Amino acid sequence: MGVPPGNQDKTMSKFVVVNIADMKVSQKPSDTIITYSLGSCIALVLYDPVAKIGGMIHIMLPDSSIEKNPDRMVPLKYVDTAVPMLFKKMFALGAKRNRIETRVAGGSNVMDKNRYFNIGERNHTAVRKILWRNNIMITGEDIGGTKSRTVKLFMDTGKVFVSNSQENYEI
Amino acid sequence: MIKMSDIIADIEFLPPFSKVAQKALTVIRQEDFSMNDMTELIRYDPALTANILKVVNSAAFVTTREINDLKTAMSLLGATQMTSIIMMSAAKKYFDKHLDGYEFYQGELWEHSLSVAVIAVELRRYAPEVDESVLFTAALLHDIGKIVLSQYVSAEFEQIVQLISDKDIDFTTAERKIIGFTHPAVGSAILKKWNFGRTITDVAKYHQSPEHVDNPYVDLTALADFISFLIGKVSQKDALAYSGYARLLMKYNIKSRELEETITVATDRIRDLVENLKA
Repeated sequence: MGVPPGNQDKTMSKFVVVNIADMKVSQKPSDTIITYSLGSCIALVLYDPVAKIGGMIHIMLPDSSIEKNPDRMVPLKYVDTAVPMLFKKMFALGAKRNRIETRVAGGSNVMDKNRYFNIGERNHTAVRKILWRNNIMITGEDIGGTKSRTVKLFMDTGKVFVSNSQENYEI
Repeated sequence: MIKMSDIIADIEFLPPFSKVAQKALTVIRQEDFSMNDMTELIRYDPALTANILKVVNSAAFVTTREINDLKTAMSLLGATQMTSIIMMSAAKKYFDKHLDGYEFYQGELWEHSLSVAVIAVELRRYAPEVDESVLFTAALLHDIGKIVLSQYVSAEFEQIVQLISDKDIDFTTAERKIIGFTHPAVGSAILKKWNFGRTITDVAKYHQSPEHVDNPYVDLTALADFISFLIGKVSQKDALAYSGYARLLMKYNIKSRELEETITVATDRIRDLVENLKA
């Protein structure tokens, strides 16, 4: 669901769409990996500039222990289960750990002075923690606020752009 | 500014809402309703019958044989689910064109509407007194005003976005300032024209300002709208600023962890529903 028609930008590149709780990897320079409408969810984007291997996950919640129905467990929903999956997939394709550029975007929050309902922030913290524990440095970040974000990874350059209905910028 | 008469003419021009669907909503709420009443109502609508059979024969309802008759389909689905399918069949056609001012791609607003309906029903445990079919219908149609305002918003989109970014206001306030009408007001006018009752018209009218009424249908739809934003099932163009939801979460004593559980369950439900409709 939520897969918009392919080449909306009218460029020659092919859009590889990452749905919610989904993962995509690519080795094709002509691909653009994209995810739409990140609210409190987080996009983790990895890119190896030497091997030109890239990948993205669109994660919803910090911790898989919340899943009550093991039959329906979707590991790509949760930070603790999804992040290792993306790294493993990248390594399997030949990406090298010390070359990987790591970018994180999303994690919007509800406007709430008490900061009680902060799923976006909890998601971000969970991502930072798991990366930190594994000695992965974050190369670029665009986190928080109340906006809905679209994130693109251009496979030819490894550049990552974040957009909303008002802006479009590189992170 | 657009003239009131333009909007009224646009509303008049909309095809009328399915009578069968509206009757179904009435029938299901009668205490002594029977499956026969429901079957009688639907069987003369071939498109609707076909839709129901399609859903009942899809992957989510694993039956050993193919179901070809309405009666068996009804008994498998149950009355509430049946009403939801009828409402979805009736509502979909209004979202079948590209609603440019509100959508990046065609179908975005329909997906959003489905998602809000599913999430609202999921939230019903916080207000068990509400009727599930009415809630589903109200939530499904909460953004119906956008089908009329789309062309006007599209024409003024740059101006609206500029105003939002300069003044830090929400999309609905910008609608009012730039085009003179808001999608909640227009939506409730459309639903009134279609003869929906007060509960359903109020959900359209107040879903972005639930503090103005004391109505659990409005509250649950507003919360569902908010959760749809969190999980990206939103019409992105107007997903700019949201406020007031923390108050609702507290009003119903919804804890952070419960919210996360709702998110994970609702995502599965939405996925199932969309798969069923595709089948």
